[in-house]
Amino acid sequence: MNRILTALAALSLPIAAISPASAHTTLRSSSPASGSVLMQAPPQLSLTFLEPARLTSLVLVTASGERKLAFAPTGIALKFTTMRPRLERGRNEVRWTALSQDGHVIEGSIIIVLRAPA
Amino acid sequence: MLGLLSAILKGLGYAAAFSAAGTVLARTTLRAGPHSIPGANGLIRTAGIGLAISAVLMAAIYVARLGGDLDAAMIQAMVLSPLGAALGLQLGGGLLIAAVPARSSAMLGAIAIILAFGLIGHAPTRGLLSAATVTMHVTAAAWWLGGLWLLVLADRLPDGRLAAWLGAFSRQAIWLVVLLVPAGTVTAALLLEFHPDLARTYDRGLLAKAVLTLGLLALAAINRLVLTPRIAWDAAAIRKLRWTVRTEICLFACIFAVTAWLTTWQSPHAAVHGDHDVQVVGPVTIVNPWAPAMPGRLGTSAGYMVILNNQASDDRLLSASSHWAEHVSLHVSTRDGDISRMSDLDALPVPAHGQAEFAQGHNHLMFTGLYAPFVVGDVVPVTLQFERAGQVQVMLHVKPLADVGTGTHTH
Repeated sequence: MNRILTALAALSLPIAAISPASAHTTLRSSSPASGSVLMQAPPQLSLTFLEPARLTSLVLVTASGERKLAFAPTGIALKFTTMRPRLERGRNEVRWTALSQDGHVIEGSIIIVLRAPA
Repeated sequence: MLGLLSAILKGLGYAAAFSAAGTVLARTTLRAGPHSIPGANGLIRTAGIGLAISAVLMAAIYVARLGGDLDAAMIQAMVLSPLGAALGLQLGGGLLIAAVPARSSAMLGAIAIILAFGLIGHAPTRGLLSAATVTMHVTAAAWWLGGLWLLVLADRLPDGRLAAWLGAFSRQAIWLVVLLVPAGTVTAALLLEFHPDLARTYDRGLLAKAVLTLGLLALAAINRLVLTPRIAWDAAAIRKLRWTVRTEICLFACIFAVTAWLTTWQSPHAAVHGDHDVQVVGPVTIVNPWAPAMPGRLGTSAGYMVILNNQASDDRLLSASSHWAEHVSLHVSTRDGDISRMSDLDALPVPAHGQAEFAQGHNHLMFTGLYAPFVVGDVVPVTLQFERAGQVQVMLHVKPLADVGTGTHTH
């Protein structure tokens, strides 16, 4: 039996290693939309999924570092909102992680650029 | 890395769950008493403990992959979700089976372990019918694997006893195949919404499982039709039987590996990605629009793409603009001896039914006054203004500078 278990472990390694991490793109939209360039920091930020999901982590990455963002609701929902995300001048990357209904960890990020008023 | 670990653990978890639950099921239907096959209780206990450990580790990996913080959102996702219920059933079922492998209550543990497969995954989330078919499929497959383990263990018994178990196993296995194959086929058909497409990786994975299952069925047929009738008088048949039973177990291991890969990384409805990113098909077609990520805080970058003109007359790209930059211009690089010079291009002609290219070392879009640097993975919206085709929106995908693709180097 040990030999078979070893064989199983050995088999699962290469097969897992060669596979691409194909993304399950389940974000329908965000507000502000990813790629948008804003003159003013938005008062709130929301993510809308294609199917109900459980958002578990929202992190803002800027030139000055990483910061966790609080969001509501907790639990399963289509749309999650974070109030006063306090985006910074320049590039703002909002990284999200969620659990999909079929038990997959899904993740992605949206980019919002904040520029100085012209 | 966590994804890889999760897939390996999933595969080992399948092996433990099917071995634990399946051996209990097979022992019950074969009416083998708790002590009539030596080693069976030990095998059930080991598999049950292995399953419980894998369920706890899986939960830990999920927490880490989902962000790592045990806050309200995480606890709700891990406890109050079908995933939490499935991991709980596997943990509870594994521990129960390991605690009392010889008692009839081990059957409760086996049922809990099998029910977990009907709670979470691609099939159960599609609906009640696919949840039912996948549970039947898992039950039959687990029973089959459990029966194989019992045959491996019964091989240690004195001569003659193995033949009795083998006969009983062969008779019951027919019914299990009748359950396994249709349940698996219906589950696959529901998952693929009756539109199999072998261009999709997921569908190829399911095909691999089907081929491995055919291998299992072929070996089972050899066992039943050729080897089993002979084992009473042919010692070579017993040796061959040992080999086929162990090969069947190895095929099960392959099926678990394919399934772990499918359920970790693939989705039944993932789009088919070609090698080329073809955007916008109309009067003009834009192929592979991309921009290199620029190191540091340089406020400039370049953009590349191939423009195909589908019109019967010549067209010209007049200008480009993007919200991400103060200015986007059309540039041309010219070589003067060893010196490369850049100058503005008034317009880029695109001949009728021909093409024009923005490529490294040649023409390119020049972004100046970027509001944010281009980082790998960014998608930058750009508007192209053509003389005849009008405005065309494209998305540039930011890739590493070294990812040259079809570009040419200039030294």
